[in-house]
Amino acid sequence: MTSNGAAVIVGAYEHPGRRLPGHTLAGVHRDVVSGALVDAGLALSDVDGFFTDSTAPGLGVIDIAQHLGLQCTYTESSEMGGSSYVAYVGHAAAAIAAGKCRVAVVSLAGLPAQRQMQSPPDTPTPAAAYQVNGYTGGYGPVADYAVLARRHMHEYGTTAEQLAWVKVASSRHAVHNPNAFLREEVTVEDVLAASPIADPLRKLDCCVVTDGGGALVVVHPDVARELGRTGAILRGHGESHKASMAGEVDLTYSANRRSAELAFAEAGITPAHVRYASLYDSFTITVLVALEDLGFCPRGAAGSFVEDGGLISGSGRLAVNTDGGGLSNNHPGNRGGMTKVIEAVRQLRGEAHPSVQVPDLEWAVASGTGFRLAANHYSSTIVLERFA
Amino acid sequence: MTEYFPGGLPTPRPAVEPDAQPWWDAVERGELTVPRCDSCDRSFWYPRGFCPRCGSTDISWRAATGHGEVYSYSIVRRAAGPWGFHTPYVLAYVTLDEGVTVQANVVECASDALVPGLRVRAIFERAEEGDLPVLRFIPAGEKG
Repeated sequence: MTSNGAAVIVGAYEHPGRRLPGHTLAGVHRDVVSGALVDAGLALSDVDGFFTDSTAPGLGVIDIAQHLGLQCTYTESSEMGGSSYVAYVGHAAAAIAAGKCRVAVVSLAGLPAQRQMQSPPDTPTPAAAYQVNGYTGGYGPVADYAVLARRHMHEYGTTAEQLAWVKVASSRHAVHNPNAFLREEVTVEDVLAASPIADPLRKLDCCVVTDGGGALVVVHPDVARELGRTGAILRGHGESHKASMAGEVDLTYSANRRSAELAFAEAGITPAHVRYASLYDSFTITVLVALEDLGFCPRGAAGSFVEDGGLISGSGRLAVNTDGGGLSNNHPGNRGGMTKVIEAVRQLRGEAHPSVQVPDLEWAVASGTGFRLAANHYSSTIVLERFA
Repeated sequence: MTEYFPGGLPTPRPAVEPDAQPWWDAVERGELTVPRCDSCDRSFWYPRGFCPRCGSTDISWRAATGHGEVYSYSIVRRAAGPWGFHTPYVLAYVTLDEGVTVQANVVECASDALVPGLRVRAIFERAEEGDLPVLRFIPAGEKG
């Protein structure tokens, strides 16, 4: 059984809010599921598959599905951090191909700015006694990615200016997105002048913290043809875990390398076919490592790939995160995978902002990494083709 | 500007898996051990009662030299909780001469000495009575 051609994304909706006082997680789930179904031209009663993460209120998917009014024959609440929503597209396709459901909804809601997000259970892991900088607290995600960035600089001569170009490109795109959390264009100098958080990463190397969410409708190709709505057909899907490798740590690549290899092999294309990529951008360094891992540039060459506007749509080497990405637009619930898929669908439909739309786009990839790139993490990559 | 990163970082008490008790017993004696699988004859990290490569439970808790070098690091300038009172401090990966790379703080270190490749050696810190000793590293030239 293959994922290639097994399912089509016919609905995609990003919550327009970035600060949502007075909202609840259940309410945001309701808003985004409804928005995605309207976009697809389907009704709540059509849905028979539902996928969301462990932060949904209640037990797994059971309580939130009840609240939303869903009667499903297939559900999943597996937790892969920010990469979950990219993975769910592949999981939904597998369930559809196996005949378990025909109309699947993938949902994300988060309210970190309202401090209302229910975090996954904070049970200490066995590794925590030896990692996480003395077990708890002192080791935030910025420090983890900073260690990764330092090694990239050491091995390949990557510079802070090159990292800054990733943020600059995202800000150029966000100028055109009326919902973006940060809409002001920034320069390399602005990034370098921002306050340091964990050397070598500065404040503007970090993604935004936003409330909101999004949802996708993933359906059987027969359903998609009946709807007559354009969308994105799944051509390849891959996932991979990368752990602390029994102590043989190599920070020059991430789990993206394996997940992308699997996704491209299933799709039967190479990165050379792809002119738009949604790459996880929790931090600027996350994008650099992803460019190398997905094969858009040789290992160690991402710094020169991104500089001088390499990621800016229209003028750059590859259009990346044309919604402004997590760095400027939105990173709802501290989880970036959902918005990565949504912008890839917009691009394939030709519905991105005209200033950033890649003309006549046929192929796109969306890739997400969950948890900490310098430690234990998970990656999901999907290859999508325009469906009309 | 040279910065100096002192010791005395927090040492919260971790949850210990029972099968790693030999490692903690050695730590209480001030000894750093690195678990080695007798079946595939390779060291691994972090300490567990089984080999994460082959699953064997034939584990030797070998005394380590305590020497190694910095693989990568970050100077952390903003942190949450009790760590916020200790910024800036250094978070690093250190590759021990035994071949495993461990995550730990480097302390008693000046910023101009801090580079990947810096030779370091292991110490144990215990801030509070009742805490378990925490593995940390200092530059190899320092008396700890």
